[in-house]
Amino acid sequence: MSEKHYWWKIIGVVLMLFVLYRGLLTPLKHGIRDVTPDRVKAGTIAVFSIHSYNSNYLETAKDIKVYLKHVPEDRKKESADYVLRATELEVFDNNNLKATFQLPKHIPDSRKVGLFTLIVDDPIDGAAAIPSKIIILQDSVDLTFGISQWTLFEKPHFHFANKYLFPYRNILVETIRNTFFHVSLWFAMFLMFGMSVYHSLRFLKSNDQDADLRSFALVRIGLLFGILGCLTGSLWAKYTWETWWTSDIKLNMAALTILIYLSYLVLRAAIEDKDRKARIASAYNIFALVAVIPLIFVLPRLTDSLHPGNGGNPAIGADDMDNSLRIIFYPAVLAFMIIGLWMSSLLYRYDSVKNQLEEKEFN
Amino acid sequence: MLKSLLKKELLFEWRSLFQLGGLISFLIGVSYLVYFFAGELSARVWNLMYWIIFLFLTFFAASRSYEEDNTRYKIYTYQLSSPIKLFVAKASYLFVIIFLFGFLLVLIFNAWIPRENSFSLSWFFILAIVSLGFSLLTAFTSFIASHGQVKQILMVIISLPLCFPLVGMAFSLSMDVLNGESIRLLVTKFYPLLAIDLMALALVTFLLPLTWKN
Repeated sequence: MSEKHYWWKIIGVVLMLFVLYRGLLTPLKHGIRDVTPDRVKAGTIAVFSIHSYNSNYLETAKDIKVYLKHVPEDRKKESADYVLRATELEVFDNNNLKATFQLPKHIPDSRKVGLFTLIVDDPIDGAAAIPSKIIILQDSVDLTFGISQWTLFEKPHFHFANKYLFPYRNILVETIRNTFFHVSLWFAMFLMFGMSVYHSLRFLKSNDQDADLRSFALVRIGLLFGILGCLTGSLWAKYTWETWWTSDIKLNMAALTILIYLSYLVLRAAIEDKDRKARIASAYNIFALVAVIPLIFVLPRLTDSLHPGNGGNPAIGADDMDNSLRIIFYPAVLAFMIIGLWMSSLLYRYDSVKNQLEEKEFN
Repeated sequence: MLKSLLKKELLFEWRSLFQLGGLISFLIGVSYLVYFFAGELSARVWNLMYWIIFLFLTFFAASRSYEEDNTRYKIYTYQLSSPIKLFVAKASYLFVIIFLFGFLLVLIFNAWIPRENSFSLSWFFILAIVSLGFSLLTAFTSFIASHGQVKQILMVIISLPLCFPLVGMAFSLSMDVLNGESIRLLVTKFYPLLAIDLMALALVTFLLPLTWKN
C-alpha cells in the first residue's frame, strides 16, 4: 500500500493526539466559585469573602482589584457601566480573599433590588467574574444619586491573561473538557449513520454485497460512538446535575436511538439468507435514520429540557464556547470522524475477508 | 385492484375468525385486569394503561399481516399485483382493525373505569391519526420481520423503538384532552404527529419496491 492511502489516518491520529494533549492538560482560567454573603443592604459596609479556583492571589496581592458592577435591568441593552471599587482587601491564601465595600445609600437601579456582578481583577491571571450573583437592596429609589455614586472617576481597566487557558464556568469547572469528547462523539456518530445510509442506498440500487458490509460496519462503529457518547454524557451529568441519568427528553431520545440501532443488529442476526439479510437490513437502516432525526433534533426542542441546545437552552452559544475551546473542539470532531471511518473500514475489511474465506470453504 | 386485495384480506380474516376473537378477548381480559387490580386510577395512569394495551394490540394485529403469505403464495401475488398495492391494502385493513380496537378499548375502559373527557371526538381524532401512523409503521415492520426466523419477537423488537415517538406524542396529546383542553387549542401539537405519519408513508413507498424481491 502506498502512502497515498493512509495520509488521512495520520491526520486523524495527529489530531486526536493534539486533542488529548491540549484538551486534557490545558489549565483553566481562574474563576470565582462562591461569594458570601450574596444579599446585602445599600448604605452599609459589606464584607464579601470570595472563594476562587485556580487563582494565585498571594503572588499579586498588591495589584488585585475587586469591583462590583451593576447588571442593567434590561440585560440585552448596552448601558453605561456603573462600577464600585472595593476599599479594602485581605488575602488569606491563593484562593481566598476578603473584600470590603462601602456601599452608597442608593444603587443605580430604578427598582428597590439590583443585581450585581463581582469582578476580581488580577494583573497576571486576568479578570474573573461571578455574574449577577450579588443582590443589593435599597430602601428608596434615587437614580441620579445612585448613578453619581457608582460612577468611577477612572474607568476600571480589566486585564486579560496572556496565557492559553480554558474559560472557567461555575458548575462545569474542569468538566468543560468533556465538550471535546461528548459532543464530538455524537457528531461522529451521525456521520457514521449518515454514511451507512448512503451505503445502504447504494446496495439497494446496485445489489453490491460490499456496500452492505460497509454500511453494517459503519452502523456498528456509530453505535459504539453512541454508547460512548451516552457514557461520557452520564459522567458529565453526574458532575453537573448530580445524577447519572435523568428523565430528561434528550437523554431518553438518545437511549432510544441506541435501541433502534441495537434492533438493527438483532434484525441482521435473525435473517439467515445473505442477500435477503442485506436487503432487509438496508431498508431498516434507512428507515432508522429517518426515524432518529426527529427524535434527536426535533422532539427535544419542543419540550423542556435541562440539556444544552433544547428547551430554549443554547447549544454551543457564545456563552459556552470561546475561541480557546473552539480551537480544540473542531479538531476533536474531525479526529473522531476520521478515526471512526478508519475503524469501520477495518471492520469492513475483516468481514469481507471472512466472507471470502467462507466462500472458499464452501466451494 | 385495491378493492379486491382488501376483499382478500377480509376473506382471510373471515376464514380464521378465531384470531380476531382472540385479540378481542385479550382486549377485554386485560381491561378487566386493570379494572380489577388498579382501583382508583389517576388520569396519567389511565392514559398510560390505555396506550400500552393499544400498543400490544397493534403488535398482535400487525404481526399477523404477512404471516399467511408463504413464499410460493408471495411470488404468485407479486405477479398479480405490485407489492406497494399489497402493502397499501394490508396497511389500510390494519388501520381499520386497530382503529376499531382503540374504539372498543375506550368503550370498555369507560364502562369499567370511567374517566371524564375520554369518550370524546377529540380522543377519536387522536386515535385516528395514531392508528394511521401505527398501521403504516407496523405493517412495514411486520413485512421486514416476516423475513426473519422468530417473527413475533423480531417484530416487537424492531417496532417498539420506532413507534416510541408516536406513542409519546399521542400520550402527551391525550393527556391534554383528559385534562379538558379543547382540541382547537392543540392544533399545533398535531403537526409533528402528522409529520411522522407522512414521513412513514414516504419512506415505505420508497423502500418497499426495493426490498420485496428476492
